[in-house]
Amino acid sequence: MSRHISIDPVTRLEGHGRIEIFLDANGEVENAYFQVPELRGFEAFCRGRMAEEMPVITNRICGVCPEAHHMAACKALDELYQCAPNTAAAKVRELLYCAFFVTDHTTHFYALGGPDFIVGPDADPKDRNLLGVVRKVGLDAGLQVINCRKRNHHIIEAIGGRGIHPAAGLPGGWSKPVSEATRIEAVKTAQENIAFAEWSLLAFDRIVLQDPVLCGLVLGDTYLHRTHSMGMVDAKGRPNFYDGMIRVVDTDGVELHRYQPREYHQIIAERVEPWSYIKFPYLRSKGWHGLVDGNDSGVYIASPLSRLNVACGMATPKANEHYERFYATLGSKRRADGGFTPVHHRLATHWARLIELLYASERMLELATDPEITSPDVRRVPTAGINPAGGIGCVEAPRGTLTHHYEADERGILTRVNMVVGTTNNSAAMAMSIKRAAQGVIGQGRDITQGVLNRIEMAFRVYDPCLSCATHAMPGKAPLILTLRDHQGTIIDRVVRD
Amino acid sequence: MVDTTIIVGIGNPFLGDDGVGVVVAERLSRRLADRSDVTVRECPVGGLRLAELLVGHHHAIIVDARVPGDDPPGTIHEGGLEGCIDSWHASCAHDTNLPLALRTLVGLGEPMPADICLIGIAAGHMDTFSEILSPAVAAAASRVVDHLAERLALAQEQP
Repeated sequence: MSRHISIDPVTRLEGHGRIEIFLDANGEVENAYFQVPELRGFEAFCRGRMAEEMPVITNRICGVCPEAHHMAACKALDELYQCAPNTAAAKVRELLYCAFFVTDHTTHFYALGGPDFIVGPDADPKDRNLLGVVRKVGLDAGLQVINCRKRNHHIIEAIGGRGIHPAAGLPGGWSKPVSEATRIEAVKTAQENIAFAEWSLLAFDRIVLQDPVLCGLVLGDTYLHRTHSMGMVDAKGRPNFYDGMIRVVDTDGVELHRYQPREYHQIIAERVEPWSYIKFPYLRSKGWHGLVDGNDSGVYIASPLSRLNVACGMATPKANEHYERFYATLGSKRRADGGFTPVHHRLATHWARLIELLYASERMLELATDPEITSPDVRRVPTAGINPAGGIGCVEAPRGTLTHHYEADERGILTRVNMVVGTTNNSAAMAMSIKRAAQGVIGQGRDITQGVLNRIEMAFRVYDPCLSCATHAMPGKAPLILTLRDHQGTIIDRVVRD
Repeated sequence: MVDTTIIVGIGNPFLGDDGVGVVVAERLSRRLADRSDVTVRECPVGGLRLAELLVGHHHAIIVDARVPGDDPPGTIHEGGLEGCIDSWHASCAHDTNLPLALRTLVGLGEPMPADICLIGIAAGHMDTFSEILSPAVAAAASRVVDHLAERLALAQEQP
């Protein structure tokens, strides 16, 4: 008799955002699917609007990463209006974007992903959270996290015009220059960010890498998947969150593609599966062979881990030291291009995220000390009309490569909108990771405990999937429900954590 | 020292009834523009971001859409934090829930409001992009705006 397990981590909308696990007659995991809420009608909502509204519309798609959507929209409009920003404006945008990356990565590590390590994967759920981290590591850790968020939010507000939904981006640049006072504050903020990132990496080393059990969890097979890797890189092949070409390497680190964001549709195809609303992007060059990993599969990931996997090094010195140590520790070999053979242990994503935190902090300092950053000339006014080929803008969002694609008529009225968001890139990999984790912890007569549930959650938590509509629900509950059903749908067991 | 109140509307104004909290905040922002003791903000997410907005205020009022459950759209629930069911690990919420965020900030010594009022409006539709509230929810939004404006006026008269 087959059984059906349903894990529902985001029950804002009943029946949406859940993990479905199917067991075979022997109680072993046969398949697993990750389903997310369907938010209908975004393209229709945008079509017919003025294209220049997109930076302030799309930054409301997601309450967690409005800065990423704002920036991708601005870049798409740069192309659509055929008006590239000057270097000063590009630096202002990137400065804000680095501050955003620092807050986002900090929050994920300390509030969501880190507790699995710092408090422990089998700890009581009541303690496996930010407060538990504070109790375990000390008050100073909590203060550092909150102060990091506070100082970077202030920079975002000062440069972006608004704290939560930046509004300063325009086609061709930025609506206001950075003042000297803000620049000085950004320098101090970046310096504090660097110290905080180094402190976090030290804590990860002490708590995870020097703990044989946790290190074994990171390096074990339960969270291992060999997929291709994607990330944005600069001209030297080093990660850049704001601008560059998109590089894809295969499971061995061999370059498959290096393309301009404008060419994304020639590289990426999207597939729809009948059991999920989310699209499944894959590499056209490899084709779709189902939810399988390996070098012949078309499945790729776009995440902090994949960004390091595609890199030929990091662009800032301290981050590069940690990048080298990351791959040396995890047993990778040096590639001819200066990079390393990819790491496929998914839990290493948390370590990669901290290295990116350090990179974003260092890059922020570079930008804040750049003489051009306070230039009053931060906008070019579009005069060339609408690009009939449309506009495509791409940035690295914290949780994956984000692409906006707009087309408009000669008046600037939108006729087509398409987006490939960070989480979508990873939809196939997430389903595979959940299945692998479930296979590792369910079956063989083992009880389904809170610890088991959490170890399955950990498989998708590393991707930090963004189900934005699920984030602010009152009454603020994100329970985890696991239901065992037989093949006729009859519930035979149920575990609820709330 | 004057007591300060913050009103936060949560939601996505482009996602139908999901945005009712933001609609309420926008209207109150205009209506209470002359009140230096009242701050009105919108916030797209809960958890830490919401809790951080409350720092330094004496009183807080949060307005959000609710999953309707058995209630008809437009039903208004008002209560304190006890109505905010604790989730210990918001697995896909990127950080945490409001009670835990508040406990964290209190533990770190941040000055948090002495009282927090949660107003939830049962939503009709929240899964289709739209700037239009369903009629029952729009009516509820007006009632909440009037109610809060009157309450704050009363509080000003009877400190």
